[in-house]
Amino acid sequence: MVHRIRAVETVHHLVTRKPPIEGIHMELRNSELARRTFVRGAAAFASLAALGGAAACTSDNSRGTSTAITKGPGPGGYKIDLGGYQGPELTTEQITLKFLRQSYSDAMNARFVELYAQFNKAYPNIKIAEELIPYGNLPQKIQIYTQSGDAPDIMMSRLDFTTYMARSGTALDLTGYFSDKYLSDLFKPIRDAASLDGKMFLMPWEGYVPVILYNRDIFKKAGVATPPQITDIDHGWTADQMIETMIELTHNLRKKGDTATWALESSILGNGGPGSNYTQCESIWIRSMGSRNAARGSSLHNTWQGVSDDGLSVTGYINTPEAIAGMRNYQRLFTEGLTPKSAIPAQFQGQQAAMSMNSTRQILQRDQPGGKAPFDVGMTLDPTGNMLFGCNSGDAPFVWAKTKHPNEAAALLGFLCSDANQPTYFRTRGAFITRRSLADNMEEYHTPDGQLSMKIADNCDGAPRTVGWSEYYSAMNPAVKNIALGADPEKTLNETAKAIDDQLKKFKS
Amino acid sequence: MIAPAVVGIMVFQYYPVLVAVVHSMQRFDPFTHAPIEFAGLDNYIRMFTGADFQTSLWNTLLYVVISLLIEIPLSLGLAVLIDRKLPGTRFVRIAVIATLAASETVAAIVWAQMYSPDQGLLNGILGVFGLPPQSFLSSSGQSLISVVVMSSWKNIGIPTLIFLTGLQAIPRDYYEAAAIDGAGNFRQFTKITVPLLRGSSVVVLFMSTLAATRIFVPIVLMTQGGPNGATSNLVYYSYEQAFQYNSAGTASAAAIFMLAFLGVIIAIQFKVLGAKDE
Amino acid sequence: MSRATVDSPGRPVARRSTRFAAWTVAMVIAGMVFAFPILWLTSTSFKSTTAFLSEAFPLSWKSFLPSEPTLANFLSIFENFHFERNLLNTAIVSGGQILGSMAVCSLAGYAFAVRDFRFKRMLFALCMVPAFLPAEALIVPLYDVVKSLGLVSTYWGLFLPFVCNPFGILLMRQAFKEVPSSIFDAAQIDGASEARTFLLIGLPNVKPALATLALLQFIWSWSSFFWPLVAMQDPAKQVAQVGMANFATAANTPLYGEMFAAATVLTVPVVLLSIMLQRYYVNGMMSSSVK
Repeated sequence: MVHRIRAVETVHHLVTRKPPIEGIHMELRNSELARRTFVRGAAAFASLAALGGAAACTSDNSRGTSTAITKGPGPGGYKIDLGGYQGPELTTEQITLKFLRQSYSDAMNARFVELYAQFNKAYPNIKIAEELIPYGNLPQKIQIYTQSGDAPDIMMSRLDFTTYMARSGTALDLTGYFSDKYLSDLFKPIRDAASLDGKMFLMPWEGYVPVILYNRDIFKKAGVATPPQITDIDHGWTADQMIETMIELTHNLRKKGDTATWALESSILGNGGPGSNYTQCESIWIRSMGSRNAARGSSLHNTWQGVSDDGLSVTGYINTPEAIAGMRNYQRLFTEGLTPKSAIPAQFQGQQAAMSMNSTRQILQRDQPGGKAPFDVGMTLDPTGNMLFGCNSGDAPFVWAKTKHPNEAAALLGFLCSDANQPTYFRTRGAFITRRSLADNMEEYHTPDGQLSMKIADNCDGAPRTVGWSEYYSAMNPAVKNIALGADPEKTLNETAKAIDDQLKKFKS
Repeated sequence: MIAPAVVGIMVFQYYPVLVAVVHSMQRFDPFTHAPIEFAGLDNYIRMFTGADFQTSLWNTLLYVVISLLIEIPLSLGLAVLIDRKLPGTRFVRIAVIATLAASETVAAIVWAQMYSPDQGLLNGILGVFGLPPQSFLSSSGQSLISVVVMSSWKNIGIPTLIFLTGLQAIPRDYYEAAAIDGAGNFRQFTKITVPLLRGSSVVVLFMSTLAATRIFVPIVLMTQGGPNGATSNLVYYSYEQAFQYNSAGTASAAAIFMLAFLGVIIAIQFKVLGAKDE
Repeated sequence: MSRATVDSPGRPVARRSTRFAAWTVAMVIAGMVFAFPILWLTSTSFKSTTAFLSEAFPLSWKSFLPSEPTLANFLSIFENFHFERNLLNTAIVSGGQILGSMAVCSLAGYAFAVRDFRFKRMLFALCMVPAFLPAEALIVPLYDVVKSLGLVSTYWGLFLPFVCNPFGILLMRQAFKEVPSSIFDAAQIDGASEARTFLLIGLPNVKPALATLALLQFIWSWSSFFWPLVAMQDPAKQVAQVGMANFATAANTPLYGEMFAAATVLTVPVVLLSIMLQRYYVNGMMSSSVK
């Protein structure tokens, strides 16, 4: 019964859908554009019908039709600098673009408002309506929205969800909307993480470059040598060296009567504490034990890859001997009392921890107003196993595949990431900038730490490529937490691998 | 006169349940979350045979039993104290009402800070008394009870007030008569107070059971069901299936099962107590 | 009841005052235990985020009280984040939920208690079953309902689903049952219309129950988070609980100061209101329970 209601809704939705009608209006001016819009409309028809279960026959080749974007005036030919956007000139109709994102700091929120005002001045007919929600609730909100068939034009996701967003038909293929020059300016690993089969589905506007930050003052106080000062990524420390340093540090601090300072701060990602963000943090301990240069299908290569080629099986990938060894290292952080077992907010900033497994964000921002740390911060690499591994999954917006205003939504993203705007975004938020030409022009990246960041960014990887990343991630987080709290790594990883495989079965068809 | 209520309940309560019943027997496209085919009882079978579900079911029972064990005696004790107007009871009364007024989100944020095994206030206080630090939310053994304590703290206001009103309805001369017969405080309590609070007890039992089965916000905010699934319950299981594992069918099946489960528990309670509605 | 139940007459005065002091101390400690989380929350809201992070541990008086009290957090939430807008929205939604449920539940309660009609028992049972529904698990179908009614992103959408509350109906039914039926019979004999009887005779007799219902609905709607998160998409109309959660993820370091200030602003008025209203709803509870 519900089945039928959905089908009826779908048809209703189609009848009232705007694009084809818009297309007819525009036919007078630009028949090429009208055809494109109509093709898009038809494509949407087919995929919507497929969702409703009414006509599953045309769904496959309908996806991806959207890449056939008519090029517009290109960079510089619009009423305002739209960055790398090269699609058609924007509509003259009165429209509202809806944008769902997390709430940032007030300075950052104000920056968005400022940029919208500029955009709005050039295109007074395009109104931008934001919806701000807590970061942790974004996935649920996106799910409820897309499920109900009516979602904002632009939504915020994260690069680890690229495969899902692309395969589920949630995100619009952005490739054709942006010039090749613009796309090739993106750091390649970051662009890859935002892409599936060479098509870019998410707009990688900030990079995540994982590093270890340390507080020189605490090392000095403990009388322990600071982590290696390095300029290239081949000479980082190993997990053993890192753990030895932390043991020495803790020992010396306790001997001096300091019972409050930890060697490593409690993770501040996600919900905080162990197992709060496998993507960006804990996966380092496993995937660095693999090697992307090892022979395909070898245990080493599988450990790095994290999931089978079809993305539907993890047994033999997350529970290899290398992965288990990696989790044993990770477990030592807790059994040796080097880092707290629970979430404690911002210990590193509060000078209650000597090190933080974090991103370059803080170090690159430290000379900025308001971002200056009250202590001397150093930066080194995450522990190197068989390779240096870092996951570059930053937050990234995407355009809803069924938006009525694909051109305008893509153009807005282009505008926010224009040469003039992206650096200010970077400066306010302190995120790693995703385009090389911009980094080259910013003094922050000419420091040794900045240079090293760029080298790391060139060597980062995306999350394991699977459409079931939500399932994978949701199962790995508690598994990692259990290991931190004392569960046997081998047994836990074996069981978790089985549980994830079970979950991924549903994607097989 | 009942039309608005009945219509409202039909639209906002029964219709979603109906949808859930249908969904619970369907298979969903994991990409679009749209139902694709009738699955019969597959979702239920998959759910019942899953270890996660079994743990959640067992935990839900534990939540109910432990909550009742804490809340009923505690709220009765508090109500008796407040009723007696002993010195300082105004303070207790205000404090209990304050817990009623704090939102669950706020309570979870504050308690998570207090429970922190490494730097939490509770371990700090235990340390002052020379007691070893506890892991609270970070150990499978203590996490469920820690969540219950927090949620009992949050919920204690309602049962206390219900008992209090029950106490205030007991005629004073009963006690005076008993005192003349030489019954002490304890005997007065067991022979007069407890039997006469039967009505209130049923309501307290009912409301506390409902609240204990539906603990959700503290789990999401403090433990995410861990460690080792030790704090996951049926609501959380359903939420996880829906929003993390893209399994709308199983999530609906869990919701329907929970409805039946609560119905059975309440029915048993009423049967055992021999209470009649009317 | 007087203190006589505890202190039998004729005990030595000295012993009495010791007992008095002991009770007072015991009660204050018990009260502190219950009030502690809220007191700590309030006290922390006067700390800067930095102070909160650095002073929580090791344990000292600074873990409990602000060493350098500041109003900055409060100023920030209102000046930078316009938290007053969220508060106003919450107030509107709570108001709607309270008024709506008072109207709907008292009507239904009155009918169930006073009137006879076909299928009464069945309909009453029908109204009670939803008390068992796990709301969190039914959020997606509920969203579909609200969406098809066109109520997404409206204040109505936020409170209407919760207006028909089983507990509210039960509470009001029990309250009306307490009212001697002769009053209603007399009204009927006098030829008063149903509406008149309900409004002028029924309602004035169930004020405490109405106050209880109002308070409970207020607490429930004031603290609801997940539903507004899902059903309200217009930030200008978003409620305070969601606004508060935004502080946790707003910046690189969560804005703890702002978060605690917002939590305090959200909690303290409700606490005060419940204390002020206690006379009414404590009596109101009675009618639902002593039956």
